[in-house]
Amino acid sequence: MIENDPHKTSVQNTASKHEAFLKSNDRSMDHSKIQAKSQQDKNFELLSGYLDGELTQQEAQKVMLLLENDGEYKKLHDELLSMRQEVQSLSLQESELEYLDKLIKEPIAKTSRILGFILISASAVILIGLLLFFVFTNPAISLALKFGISLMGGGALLLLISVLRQKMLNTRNEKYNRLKI
Amino acid sequence: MTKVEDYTQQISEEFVQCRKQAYSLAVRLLNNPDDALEVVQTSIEKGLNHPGAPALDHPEFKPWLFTVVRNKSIDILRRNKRLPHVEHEEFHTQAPSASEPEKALQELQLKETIEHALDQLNTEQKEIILLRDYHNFSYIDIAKILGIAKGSVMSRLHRARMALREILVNQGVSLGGQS
Repeated sequence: MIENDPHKTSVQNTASKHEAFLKSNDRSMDHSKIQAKSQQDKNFELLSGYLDGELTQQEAQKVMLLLENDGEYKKLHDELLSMRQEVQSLSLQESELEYLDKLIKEPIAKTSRILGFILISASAVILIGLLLFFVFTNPAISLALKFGISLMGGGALLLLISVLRQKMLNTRNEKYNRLKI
Repeated sequence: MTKVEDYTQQISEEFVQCRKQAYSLAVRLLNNPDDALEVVQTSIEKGLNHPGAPALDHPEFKPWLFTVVRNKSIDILRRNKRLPHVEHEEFHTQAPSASEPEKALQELQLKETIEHALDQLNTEQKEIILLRDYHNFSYIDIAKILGIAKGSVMSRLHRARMALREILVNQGVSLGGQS
C-alpha cells in the first residue's frame, strides 16, 4: 500500500512548481537571448546597407549611434569598408579587355557567315536550274512528270527568294544597325 | 556631327563599356575567358533580337544584360560542375609603381589574396559581392538580376561579406585599412 504523506506531497508539488518555473525562466531567457542575437544580427546587416548607402535616414542614424558607442561594431565597419574598397579596386587587366575587343571585332565569323549563306543560295539556284534543264531536255520524261518537277523547282526557288527578301528587309530595318557594337 | 550621330556614338560607347563589365562578371564567375566571351556574345545577341528585351539606351538594359549573363554563366557552371579555379596572374592589376615598390608589392599581394578569397566563396556569395562592390549595382538592380526580393539583398550581401572577411582573416590578412 502506498503511503500518502501530505507534507511530502506538498514538497514535491513545490519542487515541481519550482522546476517548471526554472524551465519557463530558462525558456524565456533563451527567448530573450535569441531576440537579442537576432537584433544584433540585424544591426550587423544594417552595417552593410550603411556602407552601400542603401538605408533609410532612421536606419542610418541608428548605425551612426552604434558606431559611436560600440567598439566591436566600429571595428567591423572599418574592416568591411576596407574589404569593400579592395574589391572595388580589382579589375581585369587591360590586355584581357583588349582580348575581348579583338575577338568581338574579328571579322572572320561575320564574313564566313555571309559567305556561307551566299554559297548555299548560289548552289541551290544552280542545282535547281540544272535539274529543270535536264528534265525539260530529256524526251524520255513524260509531260506530266516534267510539269510536276517544274512545280517543285519553282516552289523551291520561290522559297529561296522569300528567305533572301526577308534577310534584306531585316538588315534594312535592324534597330541597331547604326551602332558600332 | 549631327545630333543623331552624336547620340549613336554615345550609345555605342556606353554599350561597349557595358559589354566589358558583363564580360568581366562572366570571367570572374566562370574563371574561363572563352566561356565568358561566349556567354556575353549570346546574351548580347539575345538582347538585340529578343522582342521583350529593353532597348540599348534604356536604363533597364544593363541590369537585363547582367541577368542574362549571370543566368547563362550559372547554366555553364552547372553543366560543367566546374570547381572555381583561376590563373590569377592573368587578371592582376596595375604594375607596381616605381616610387614605392614595396608598398605597391604589398597592395598587389593583397589584391591577389582577395581574388583567391573571392574564388573560395560559393557562386551565390561571389556574384552578389561582385554585383555590388565591383559593378556598383543598386540593391534594386541586384534584386532584379538575381531574381530575389529587394529585402533579402542586404542580408545576403552581408552574409557574403562576412564569409569573405572570415576567409581573409583565416589567411592572416589584417583588414581595417591596414594590410
